[in-house]
Amino acid sequence: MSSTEPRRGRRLDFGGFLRMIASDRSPGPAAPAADDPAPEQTPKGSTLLDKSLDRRDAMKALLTGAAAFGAAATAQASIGKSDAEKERRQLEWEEYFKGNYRLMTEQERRETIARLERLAELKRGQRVSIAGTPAREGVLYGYAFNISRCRGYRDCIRACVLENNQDRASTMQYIRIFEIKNGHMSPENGNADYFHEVPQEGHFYLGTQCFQCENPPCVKVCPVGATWKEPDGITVIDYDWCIGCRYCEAACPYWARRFNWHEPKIPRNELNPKQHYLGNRPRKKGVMEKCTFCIQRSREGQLPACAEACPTGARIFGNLLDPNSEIRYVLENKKVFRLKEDLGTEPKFWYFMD
Amino acid sequence: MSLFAKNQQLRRVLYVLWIVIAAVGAWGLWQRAETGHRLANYGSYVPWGLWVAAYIFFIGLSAGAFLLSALVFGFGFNKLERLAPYALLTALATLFMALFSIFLDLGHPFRAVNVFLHPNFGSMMTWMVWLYTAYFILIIAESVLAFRPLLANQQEGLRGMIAKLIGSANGYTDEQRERDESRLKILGRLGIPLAISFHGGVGALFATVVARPYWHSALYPILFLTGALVSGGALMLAVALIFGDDMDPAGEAIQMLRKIVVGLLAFDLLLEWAEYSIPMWYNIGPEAALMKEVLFGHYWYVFWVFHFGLGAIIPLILFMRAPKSAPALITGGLLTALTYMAVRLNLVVPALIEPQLKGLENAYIRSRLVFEYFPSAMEWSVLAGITALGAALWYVGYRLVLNRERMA
Ligand code: SF4
Ligand code: SF4
Repeated sequence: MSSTEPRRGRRLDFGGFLRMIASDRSPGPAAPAADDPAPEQTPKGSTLLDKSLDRRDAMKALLTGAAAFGAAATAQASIGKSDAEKERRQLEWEEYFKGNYRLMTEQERRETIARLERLAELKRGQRVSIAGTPAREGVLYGYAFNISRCRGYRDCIRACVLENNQDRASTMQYIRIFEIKNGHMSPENGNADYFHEVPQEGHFYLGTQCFQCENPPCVKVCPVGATWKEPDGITVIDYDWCIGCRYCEAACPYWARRFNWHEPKIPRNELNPKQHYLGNRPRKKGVMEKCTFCIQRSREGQLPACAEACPTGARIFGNLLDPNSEIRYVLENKKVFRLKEDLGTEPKFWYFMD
Repeated sequence: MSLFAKNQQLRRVLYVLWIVIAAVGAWGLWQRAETGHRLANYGSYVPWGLWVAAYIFFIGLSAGAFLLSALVFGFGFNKLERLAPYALLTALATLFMALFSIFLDLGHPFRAVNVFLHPNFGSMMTWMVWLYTAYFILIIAESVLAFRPLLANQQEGLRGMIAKLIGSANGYTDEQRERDESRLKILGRLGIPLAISFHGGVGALFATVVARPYWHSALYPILFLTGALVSGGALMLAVALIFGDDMDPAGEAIQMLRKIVVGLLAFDLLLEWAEYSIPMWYNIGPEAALMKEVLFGHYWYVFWVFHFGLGAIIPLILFMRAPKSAPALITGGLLTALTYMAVRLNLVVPALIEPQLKGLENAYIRSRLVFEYFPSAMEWSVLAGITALGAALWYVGYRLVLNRERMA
């Protein structure tokens, strides 16, 4: 995100308008931390306090003077409201004509992202930062799952849902942990719907998610090129280009894709504001989504939320092209296997045992 | 005079039927507009349902009807000449129904234009959309040429407007006729490979998905094509006998069509035998269990009662036993055409019923996460709405262009 980019709209909240006017906030604000509920802290006593105004309105408001404040404030509030509404509509209109993210120029990407950030603010009253961090050179992500370590706690699932702003209403989850009886190997004999103490005697646990196939059928079938494989091996979706045909969902052999049958719901205080355009920014109704190895984290050098959350160290994530990475160590020294290898999808997700 | 014009009772039955279907359909379409996909029973495990099946059903009818008309226009197959304009109109109306079904199935229908803005020609679906578009244009062009002589010298009202639009309001000379016929010949011939490729392509859209062994069969595109011809041909048989002008059930056109439908039906059954018997023979392998589910599972009656019984055996008996009886041919034709929907459902849904990772069926049982599928009331009524709209479109075309006689 560039902070030098022209701004589309300015917001003034009267709770601290001098600070705001002086700062001339850029569209790519330093990412508000997850625990920075700025909009919530804004006093909400009067309708005026949380209205957006542009600079012209702000100047007008200042000129009315303190004596006339009460009357003026009411008038300005309605102007502010309709201006914000107008801006929102304008931005939504512009959104409608944007192209496929993959084909956008740098400039267009920046504009799009600024627009989405502003829209998030206008619509939900929450400030988010949406990154467009591209793939790094010399990086190809891979994942390994240690079957002997996983104890079925499903902390990874919780972390994933929170990190990736998944719809809570439909309990959408990218990860499944299968509880499988010893003596079997495939999830076919497993159960992902267990509600009891773990680990269970005589069982082991195996997790699935999008395997970021090197040869992904989901990408090949998409009629509009709304989903593609990035240079670092992550299969992503442009949620604003997807037409919602669900061909990719039918074509994925691992059931890794999730469709938004209705408008996703995320509790206000649980929204993760640190987002990526191709990752965890909130989706709309009618589009596909899936695990992106937490692109918003991995491209910033962090582990995906699932790998970080796992208390047993069963999840290994890293750069397949780095000979010193842990994932390479696993691939070179352990007996590994992948699911449905015969299909030739070449998942970049391996299972192994200690 | 057509049977429809002669027989007031038949007309009443059809009108009432249409009103009921349209009323149910209006409710369904309204629900779809209001609640989106929320009331649908397809979901995350079975992402495609009734509307996708309806789409391939309608598009099959369209392709089948169109190919019949193309035989006439493109190759001067004169025995069917009288049926050709009806076939063309039917192809147009069912094409509309198919496109409307799939439009409503999309999560973002209005983004469908992205398939033109940024097509991925690696995807079978892209080919579909592009070929349909070509087909749509071709069918419109053919309709203009074929309907010109029928609307010659029409000046009044809606008919006059259409006549003006297609350029025959001020008469239609022999010279024009000759020119249009040679144009129709070219379009008809172009249409045949087009219809074959787009409908075979719909089959390929499913067949190319390796993740679904049930679909992943080289026979699929062929099955789709035969299905299109069977269902489209059978529908035309009924349509011609009900709406055609003085259509003699013993006449050459109908008898020819009857023979075509019987032959295709038999061929279709042969293909189905191959499709089911090979994966099931040793009862091993990924498709065997699914096919067993289709034939003997929960929804066994979709195959046995609707498809095999009502859609194939009874019509075959009617066609063979009472080859010259209009009621028998109409019943047989309608049964074959309408129950073909059962085949389409069995083509789409079973593949999706099988979990890609078996244990998933035990995962989080919520309404959207079940490996079971029976269409919801909303889905059925939307289908009714599409049917009513398509039928209305057809009827308007019929009254304006094909048949202007007074009803008895
Ligand atoms: S696991 Fe499925 S969604 Fe993920 S890349 Fe492979 S085919 Fe695509
Ligand atoms: S649902 Fe979206 S991403 Fe998937 S194939 Fe259709 S358009 Fe592409």
